[in-house]
Amino acid sequence: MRQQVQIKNKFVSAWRRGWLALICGVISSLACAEIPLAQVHTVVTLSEGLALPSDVAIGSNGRVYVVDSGNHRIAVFERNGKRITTFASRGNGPGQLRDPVGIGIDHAGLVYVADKGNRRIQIFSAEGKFVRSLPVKVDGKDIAPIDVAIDASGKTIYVTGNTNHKVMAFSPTGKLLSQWGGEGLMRGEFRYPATISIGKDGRVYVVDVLNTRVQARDARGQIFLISEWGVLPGQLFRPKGVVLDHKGRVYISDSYMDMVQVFNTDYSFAHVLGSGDKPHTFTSPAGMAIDNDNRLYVTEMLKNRVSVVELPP
Amino acid sequence: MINGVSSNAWRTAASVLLGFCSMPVVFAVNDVAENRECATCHIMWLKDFKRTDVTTLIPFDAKPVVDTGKQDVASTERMCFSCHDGFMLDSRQVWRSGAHGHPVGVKPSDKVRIPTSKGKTIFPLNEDGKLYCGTCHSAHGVDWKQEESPVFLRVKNVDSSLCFACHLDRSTGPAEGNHPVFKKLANPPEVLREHGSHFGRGGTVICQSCHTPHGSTQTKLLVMSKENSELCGTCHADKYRIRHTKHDMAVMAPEAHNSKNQTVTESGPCGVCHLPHKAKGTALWARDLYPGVDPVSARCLSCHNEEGLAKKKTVGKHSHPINIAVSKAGITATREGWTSQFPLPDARTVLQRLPLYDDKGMRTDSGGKVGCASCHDPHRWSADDNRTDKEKAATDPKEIEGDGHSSFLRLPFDANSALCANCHVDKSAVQFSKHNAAFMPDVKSDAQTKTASVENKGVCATCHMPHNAKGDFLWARERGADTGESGALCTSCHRKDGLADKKIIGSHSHPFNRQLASGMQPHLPLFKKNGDGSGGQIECATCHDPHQWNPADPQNHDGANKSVEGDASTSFLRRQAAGRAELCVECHREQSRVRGTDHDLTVIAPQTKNAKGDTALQSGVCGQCHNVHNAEGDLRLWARQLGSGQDIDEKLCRSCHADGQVAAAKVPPDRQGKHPGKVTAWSPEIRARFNPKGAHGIRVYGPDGLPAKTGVITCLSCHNPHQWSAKSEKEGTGKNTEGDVRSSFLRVSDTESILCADCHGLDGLFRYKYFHGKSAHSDYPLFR
Repeated sequence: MRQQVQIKNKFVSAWRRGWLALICGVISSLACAEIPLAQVHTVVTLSEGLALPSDVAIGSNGRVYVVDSGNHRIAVFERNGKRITTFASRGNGPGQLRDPVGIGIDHAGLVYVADKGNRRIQIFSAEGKFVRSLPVKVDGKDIAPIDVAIDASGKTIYVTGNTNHKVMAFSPTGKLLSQWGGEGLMRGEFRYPATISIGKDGRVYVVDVLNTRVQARDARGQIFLISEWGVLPGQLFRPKGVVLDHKGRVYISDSYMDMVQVFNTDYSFAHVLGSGDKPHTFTSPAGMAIDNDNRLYVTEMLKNRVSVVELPP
Repeated sequence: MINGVSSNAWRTAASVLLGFCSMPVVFAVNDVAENRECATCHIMWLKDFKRTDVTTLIPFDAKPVVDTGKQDVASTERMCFSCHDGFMLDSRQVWRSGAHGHPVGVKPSDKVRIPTSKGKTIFPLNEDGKLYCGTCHSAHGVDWKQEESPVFLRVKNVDSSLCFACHLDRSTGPAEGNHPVFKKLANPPEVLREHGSHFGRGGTVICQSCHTPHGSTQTKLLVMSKENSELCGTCHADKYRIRHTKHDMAVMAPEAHNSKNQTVTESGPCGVCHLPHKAKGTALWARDLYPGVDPVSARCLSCHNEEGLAKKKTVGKHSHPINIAVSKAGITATREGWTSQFPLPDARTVLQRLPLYDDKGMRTDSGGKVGCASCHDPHRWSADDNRTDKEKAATDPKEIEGDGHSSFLRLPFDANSALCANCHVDKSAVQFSKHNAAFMPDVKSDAQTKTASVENKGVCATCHMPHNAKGDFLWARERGADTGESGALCTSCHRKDGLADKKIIGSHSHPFNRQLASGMQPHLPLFKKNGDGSGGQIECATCHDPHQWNPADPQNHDGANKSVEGDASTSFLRRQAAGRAELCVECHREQSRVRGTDHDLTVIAPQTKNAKGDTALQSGVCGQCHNVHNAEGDLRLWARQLGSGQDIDEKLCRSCHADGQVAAAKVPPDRQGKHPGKVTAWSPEIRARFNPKGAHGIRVYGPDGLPAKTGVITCLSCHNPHQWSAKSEKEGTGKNTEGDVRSSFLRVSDTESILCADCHGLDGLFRYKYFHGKSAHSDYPLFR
């Protein structure tokens, strides 16, 4: 009797497990069925003379400023892809750059370049004329900057530090206003903070490369985590670029998986930018920018170009 | 547009079916975290790839086929770049457009030897047997805690040790034709570091000083361009002055090929002559060495030969000797500097340390031999940075012609011939002499000197040419008529219508171009007809040093004056002929005993003058009676006005021993003429055979005034004018002394067996003693 009961229980258990497996199978089959894709297509590429472009920004004049990092200079393009000019050159003098990475443009049109090799932020006019330089120094130590972003008021300049794993906020005169982060895995800590974007609400979005996430920080210092480690849709392997569209959705480029993923304003995964039934391939994408026409500019370092795609509304 | 669920039915169905099989995996989704650090590179280890219930963003492919071949995804270039793109670590130069990196995706060539351990290569190849990133790199190789070498390498790369593991043949140094390694640079150029160059411990040169395994924009993985040899020029800045000179083959001979058959464009201007690896011989030579000569010359002559690139600039048959020790010129060369055994003509002069070479052609600080590059710096057209034609030389080296200030000379071959004087210190005083054309009164133009201008080629060039000379002694002029080796040179100028036609020796001059009399052993140079100077005949240069105006005082610059006139103290004599006549007595040692005697006019009548008007002090003890050149006659090169007498020798003596002359107090009476005019006598040598004790030097003299078998008894028969006393073979006391029979310049002091006794028997004594007596010749019966 006991044996029968045991057999029955095993059968029921197996039946239940079978149903469970079936349900899971259905769920998983639904999940694996597709990668949510948002169709985009390249409308133009900016490539003339570029070598390892690492970041891009849209000027108030509508021009596109690209960090031509392999040539240690900034290249300026029309939105149609025609190169207008370049400025800066390799060196450590005023107006020179060494291994620059990120770029940001303030409301006045001034161009800020993270001059990583020289441990400073170089500021140029929209025409490329050298304006001034801000040393990136904390507690007497020179910090190698990766990216720079300026808030809407122009009073705070955010800089990511490669060597201290922090985000630093400077005044326009170079005074350190605040900083957060430090090397670590915990919320608010970073392992190689990379590009920065600032939302309309003032939130600061920072790519946390080796922790494979983006951290957003609001004015009160509250930290929000976007995405996580992995190779599934909504997960990241080598995030590099972050940018927000006019709706506040967060775009994150993955330089190994060669794609851009989009997260909703609540930071839930939305979709992957795609072409046909596959993710749209950007080769080693890094810094990004979105212009007023909702066009996404993606630097493709190993392709020595910036691809421009029109985003879905 | 956002896609919805796919309508691809078969994929969906398969997924559902696979879902049943994958249930255990479902519950392991969150386990990836424990492998996260590994999966940072080993992405395919993520368990999500094994799940069938999800679609990964990228497909599973553990060993993809990439450009370098089939290999683990963790060591693909893309994986490396995902961290080294500047956002984390920065190796962007590796991937910079057009950059060159260490070969990957190829099988190791036979030029390298990959070391093995226990039968396995230390540096693995990929699935296709090709080099790939993982051949050298591994996250599991070098201990992250060590600080000597970059991590992510399989083995430490301290001082290029990793490079040498495979490229050992490139590390053997100059002896085997490779650029030196582990040699310390005092100040490694910063520009090299900026271009990615690395130096070893203590600033030593290592592989990565010139090569970078990644990110090179140049061929051969060089950190800087070799098109114009910029890389070489960075460290060898002193050599980089070669650019735009006549040695810049990029300008002069773009068609030139080196031993690797590379054109100048391929090798760079430095590479025409030097190869950093697998060069030929020393100096990393890149050309075929000229055979049969020393190693240094072999390099230069590889172009400067009759068929070479520089066939218009050969050195000719008569060229400055090379491969000889600099010590032969009296130079002691040490690391600290050069010193000369000779006094410097200008005390302010400091000898420059010029390169010297050992038998292998390598530079050596101490000792060493002279090579082409001792005088020439093949990398620098002119040592004078202020040259007026520098700009021209820089723009059009083909059109410019070298001179003493250029021609790749290390020191200027200028008016003072600084280059020559640096070794030939004993000859450098010529610049302060009348043999410097600048101080020759009548020399005004190049046409007269028949060489290039003194200003441009220097004092030495008036007579010598280091290359393509006209004969021995590197003679630069037409040789004169004299048959002597040195005389032929002197008479280039010291001849009628020559540059020095006012300084010719005249018809009656000291004998030369003949062997010295036996017993003469002067410390003066003698010459053979072949001019090797190793003993032999007397020539001009036996007495004269054409490079030294004042032998007693090399630092005396009085000769550097157009109007100065030479005398017995100067005149390029090797010793002073003035005063004690040190020059003359080098050969005429017996005659030196005249010094300090009553015949030494510098003692008894220093202000008396010879026929040339020179006082005794000026002319020296010999010069009062003898003129070496331009004498009145050949006999004894007499320098005074002849006196009266019955024979020529008596006339010589009576130049002084006459009334009104300097020896007026010692005037013997005129001979009465009663003695037979001619006497036949054995020479002292013949007499010595029969009577050794009677071998006195009493001779009779012929009409030419020289000893003869038959002749007259004259002054010199009894008197040796150069020795005060026959008993004392010494110089005089320096005081005017009254003589007697023991002195008075008599040849003998004992009278036994003297020549007179042959005829006069014992009376000869009296004949001798009272020779000058009025009755000595006539009153005795025997004589009569």
